[in-house]
Amino acid sequence: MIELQDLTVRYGDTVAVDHLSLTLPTGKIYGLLGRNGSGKTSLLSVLASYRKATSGSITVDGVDPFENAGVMRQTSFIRDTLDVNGADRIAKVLDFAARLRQGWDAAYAARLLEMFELDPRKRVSSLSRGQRSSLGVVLGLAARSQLTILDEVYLGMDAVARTAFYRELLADYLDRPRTIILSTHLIEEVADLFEQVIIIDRGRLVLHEEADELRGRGVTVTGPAAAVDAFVAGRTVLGDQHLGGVRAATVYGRLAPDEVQRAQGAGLALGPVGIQDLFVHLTSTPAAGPRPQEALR
Amino acid sequence: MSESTLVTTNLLRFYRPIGLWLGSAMIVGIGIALTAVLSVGDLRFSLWLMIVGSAAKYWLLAVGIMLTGMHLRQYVSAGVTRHEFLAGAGLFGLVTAVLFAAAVIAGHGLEQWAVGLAGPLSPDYPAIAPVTEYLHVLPVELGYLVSGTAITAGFYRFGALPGLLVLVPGMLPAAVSEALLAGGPHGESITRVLPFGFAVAVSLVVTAVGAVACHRLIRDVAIRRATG
Repeated sequence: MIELQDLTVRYGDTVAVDHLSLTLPTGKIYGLLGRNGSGKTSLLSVLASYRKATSGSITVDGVDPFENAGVMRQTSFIRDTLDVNGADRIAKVLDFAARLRQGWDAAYAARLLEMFELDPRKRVSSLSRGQRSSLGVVLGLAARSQLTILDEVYLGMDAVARTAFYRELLADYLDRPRTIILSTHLIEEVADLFEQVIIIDRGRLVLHEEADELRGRGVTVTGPAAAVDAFVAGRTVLGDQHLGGVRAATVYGRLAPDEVQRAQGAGLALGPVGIQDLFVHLTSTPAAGPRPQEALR
Repeated sequence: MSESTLVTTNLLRFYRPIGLWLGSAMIVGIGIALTAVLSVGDLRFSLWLMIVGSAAKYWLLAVGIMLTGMHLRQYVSAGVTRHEFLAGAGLFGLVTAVLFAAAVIAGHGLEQWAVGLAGPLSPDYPAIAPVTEYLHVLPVELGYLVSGTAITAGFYRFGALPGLLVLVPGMLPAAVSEALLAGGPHGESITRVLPFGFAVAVSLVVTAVGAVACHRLIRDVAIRRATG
């Protein structure tokens, strides 16, 4: 169990994480969503013992993870910028990880390299942005850590590599369940992987709930434009699409059983809402205070 | 094997090929220079002490800089605590400095032997005195290593401008040991300002204080991102 209580991270006057409290049961895939500068990386850095929180507490299985050898051995934090020596060849980077990581799975790492078409003889500095991200995925997954944190590791990856990554992540998780936290801006692409979603904005917790429950926070109403207009009147419409005389409106909020009946009676089709639409709605409301700068994290 | 021992052995593994290349290049270079100088006259100073002695301390300064600037995040990202890294890197630094100092003295002995083969030694040539020389070279090398680590730790922890404030105290171990124990114009061992024993002791104490300061700066530092 990961527990954060009143966690705050400051950089001078800038508050990156603001009195955030969360309880994360282990053995799930979490989606950590937030706009640029919302405090995602600062939060993940504290989770991974990369930095100390300014105030508040954090425990992983009941102990403070900061400088705790047992917890740090079982944590892999892969950032969008790799923490490796750029002059090293990929083979040397993997050899280093194998020497340091007790649970390192060399055979799996080799398979991932092949899957991402990474040449182990290449130097890290010569890799493209996407190839570096792929190397990050290899390091993160092959470490077989109990807590795997992947912070925007998809950067620069092409669609094929991203799809392979998502497929591999899910397969590996099903094979070896553990806690995985994925921070991403490509919400729709990864949303199906999430078991729970955490949304933060300006360092504050906006929402933490089961992904399915979150999807139930909204509904897509599709049907004749006039009927949809009448049904959604007075509701918060997150998105709207028109095709001929048909309108599909994404509405925020759960429908009561009688409302569902009324919609169906009017010939309207009800469907699920994408997490991205809900995320945009939940985080686009202007709030007091400036958004912290990305550069400070 | 403990994690700190793993850090030491992996750092030694990382620097071994670089050290071997550097050492080989030095031996070849000094050998050629020695042959050239001896073919035209006497050698009145120790080429080895002047060139390799300097290269060794500056190389250790560079290693100190890399320990924080490059290796810290590598090891922490591989699940090593800062405390374990500091212990392992400290032992690595000590072993490296001890070996380098030994190599400097051994090289001087070889050079003196080679010069002796070509004829009588010049009165200006610094004859080898292994123990005294070693006690001159080792504290200076340790001072440079700790200074490199301290200066980078200051920038790493506080950023560019505040890090400048750590620059001056960070240079103290190198500066003090250099001022008290660095070689003379012929490469000879000279003790300045203080008697030899005091000079060694003061140099080692300042270096030890620098090492403790490095520990304080790094033990809970945030692991910064790579720049590239």
